[in-house]
Amino acid sequence: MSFTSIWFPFFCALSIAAYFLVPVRYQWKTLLIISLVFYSLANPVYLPFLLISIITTHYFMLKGTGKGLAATLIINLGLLVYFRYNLIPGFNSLIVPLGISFYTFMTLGYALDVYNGVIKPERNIFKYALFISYFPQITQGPIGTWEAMGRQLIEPHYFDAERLKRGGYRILIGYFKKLVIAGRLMFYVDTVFSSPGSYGALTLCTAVFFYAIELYADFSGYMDIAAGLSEILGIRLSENFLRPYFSRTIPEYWRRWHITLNEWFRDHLFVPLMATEFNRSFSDGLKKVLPKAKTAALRTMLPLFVVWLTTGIWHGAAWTYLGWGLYYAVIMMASTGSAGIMKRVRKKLKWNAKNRFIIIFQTLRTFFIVCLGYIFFRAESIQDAALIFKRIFTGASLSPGAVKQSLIPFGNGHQAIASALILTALILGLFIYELLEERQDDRLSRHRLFLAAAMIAATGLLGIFGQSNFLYQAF
Amino acid sequence: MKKAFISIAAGLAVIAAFVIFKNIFSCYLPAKNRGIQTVIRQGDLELLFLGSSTFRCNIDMPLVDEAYDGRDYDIAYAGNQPVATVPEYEELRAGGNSYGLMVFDLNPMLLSQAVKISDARVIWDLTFPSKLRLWKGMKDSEETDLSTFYEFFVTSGMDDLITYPITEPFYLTRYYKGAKTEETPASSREYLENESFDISKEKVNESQRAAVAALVRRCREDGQRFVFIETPHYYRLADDPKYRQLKSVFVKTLEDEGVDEYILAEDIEMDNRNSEFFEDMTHFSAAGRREYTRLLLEYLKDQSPSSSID
Repeated sequence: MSFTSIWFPFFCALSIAAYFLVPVRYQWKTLLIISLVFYSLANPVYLPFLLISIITTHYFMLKGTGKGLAATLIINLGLLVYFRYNLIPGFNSLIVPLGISFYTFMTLGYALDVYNGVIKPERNIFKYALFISYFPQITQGPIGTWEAMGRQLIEPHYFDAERLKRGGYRILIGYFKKLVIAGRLMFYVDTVFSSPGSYGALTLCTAVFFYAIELYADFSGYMDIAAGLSEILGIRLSENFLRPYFSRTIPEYWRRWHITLNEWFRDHLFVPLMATEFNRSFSDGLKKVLPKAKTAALRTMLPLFVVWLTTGIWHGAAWTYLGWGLYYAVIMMASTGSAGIMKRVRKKLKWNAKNRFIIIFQTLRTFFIVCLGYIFFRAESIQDAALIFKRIFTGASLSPGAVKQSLIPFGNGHQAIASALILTALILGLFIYELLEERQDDRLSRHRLFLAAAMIAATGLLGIFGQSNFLYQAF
Repeated sequence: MKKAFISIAAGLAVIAAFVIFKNIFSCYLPAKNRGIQTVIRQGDLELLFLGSSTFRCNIDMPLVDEAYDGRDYDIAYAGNQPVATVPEYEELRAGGNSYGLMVFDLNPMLLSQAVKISDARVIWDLTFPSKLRLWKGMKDSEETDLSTFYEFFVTSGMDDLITYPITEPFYLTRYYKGAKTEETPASSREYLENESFDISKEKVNESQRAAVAALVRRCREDGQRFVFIETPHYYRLADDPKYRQLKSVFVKTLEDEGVDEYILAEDIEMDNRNSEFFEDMTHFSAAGRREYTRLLLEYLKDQSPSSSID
């Protein structure tokens, strides 16, 4: 069942009622049943694969041994690779279990934490099953850790009207972002990216900008719904977004975008890779080539490269994702490698990091770099990505013809202006809202009731219903 | 908690207010140069085009004005949906005016369209009873679902309604009597030769075909003179086997209803290989629009009045 299904609000209402009406000692068991029912409603065929992952991981990690870890990794990564990447000719999977990338990473995170002694293995398989299958987060994350989630899921919770209000408000924000903003942008973005060769630079730039907003509104909208629903139940999910487009550098952006995935890679890939002997010898080799470079920075090069390539591949088996991963690998390596030089340059220029214009410049520059990355991420092939880059950087024009063409993907010619105006107002509204949040402006909390009413009205009147699933559901 | 409920109620009240206004009153909002209510206010007309974007882009109304002394109009918001043309026709008839000749769209591609809201303006234009009739027509086809219902009665046309004070003055500069006035440039030959389209899987949608037949019968019952015209498509589309097949089904539908006079693209001697005349496969450039309108008016003049059906 999707969060945008018409039945989802009824499912939630029943689930919340059931959760708070059963005696507290049955609460987590009720939640487990609800979660498995929720997952099965998407497609019952998915359930056995989820159960295989749960049962085998729980069994093999009971003792936390290296052999158990190896078995867990082989089984879970095997299932992930089989379903997501179709690597074996003739054995291509026709289905992809919902949320497999997300729950596999939760499973692997649990197994690695048990093996490394960060956490103790959970003896009760049903409690572990609830951790993996918890319904607000199973399809798109956040990729929770046992340390943060385990106890919360199992301890008793009592109904709290304040939590209901806070959670309900967050759910409203989520639906507004998804149904109104992402839903409307989707038409434009899909139209342009399905045949980029038909459009000029201005239209392509608009589509890339819209995709940046669409992806954020879609993915963070999902997270808002999941977090709001979970908050009503008394369970706090890890935050996955912290207004990433206000980041001033790319490393900062990645600390604010899809936070739980990046933390997973940091804890389970980057840090262990840093400590390997191979990395030490590799960075020593680099030091000979670049004697002036700092050793600490050189140590991060190989892990950064591997982590970003893996992040790209995590999104799917396509050259575009690989290109996107490589793009960020290069940027992150360059950013880390040049940190010392840039520090000296800034000192020489008497660079005031608190200057408003410098903040705006850095924020726009970071957003621009992120948008360029999205060309790889969203293009339907690497050739399309190359074509878009070429058009954007060689064919820029603001002629009346180019402006007119950029309106075409808004849809029906004579209504395009109205759609464009509404979208502009919505994006501006979202920007102002996020800016006030970023500044922790108390006007947002003071006018929360007004904002809630406005979001209900806007979602009801301008939302796109029954059109699509969430973008990250595909990963 | 009480405040939260008030907030929710306020949000819902705003939705209700907009929905009621849109469904009942939006058609009466002033629209000087387009729309069914505007046509009704014009009084009796000699010539009325009733179709979709092909009529909006392919008919030059200033030229038509010269031939019909300004007693003409173009309603072009059916969104490729014969299912939507029927209630439009009924609404126009209910307005009490007489129309010397009604021109309907014989675009073969209309027959393969899924029943959907492809142009929200048609919903905006209709009075509430006509909206209900259009909805019934759509509901009778199998493609409609709850989200279509919501789109029909709530979200469709909402952009236009909310931005009305800004967009209406803008539209005034772009349309004349429902048709485009813009000097649309022609697309390059290279573009027209390479524009990809695949209609091989298109098939006749029975709901649309039945709507064409129903429209003919309604005209007959009302004694309304009418003619179906096929505006020329760029030759690559016009020569496509599937296009030809859909065209033959359209013609057969008309002939089964006893309509044996219609104006096909080949009846009007317009060069559909001349890229100067086309913006895309279906819509004309400004030059194509003027050329086609001139040829069509000559043809209609030659045929008038007895031959144009019934």
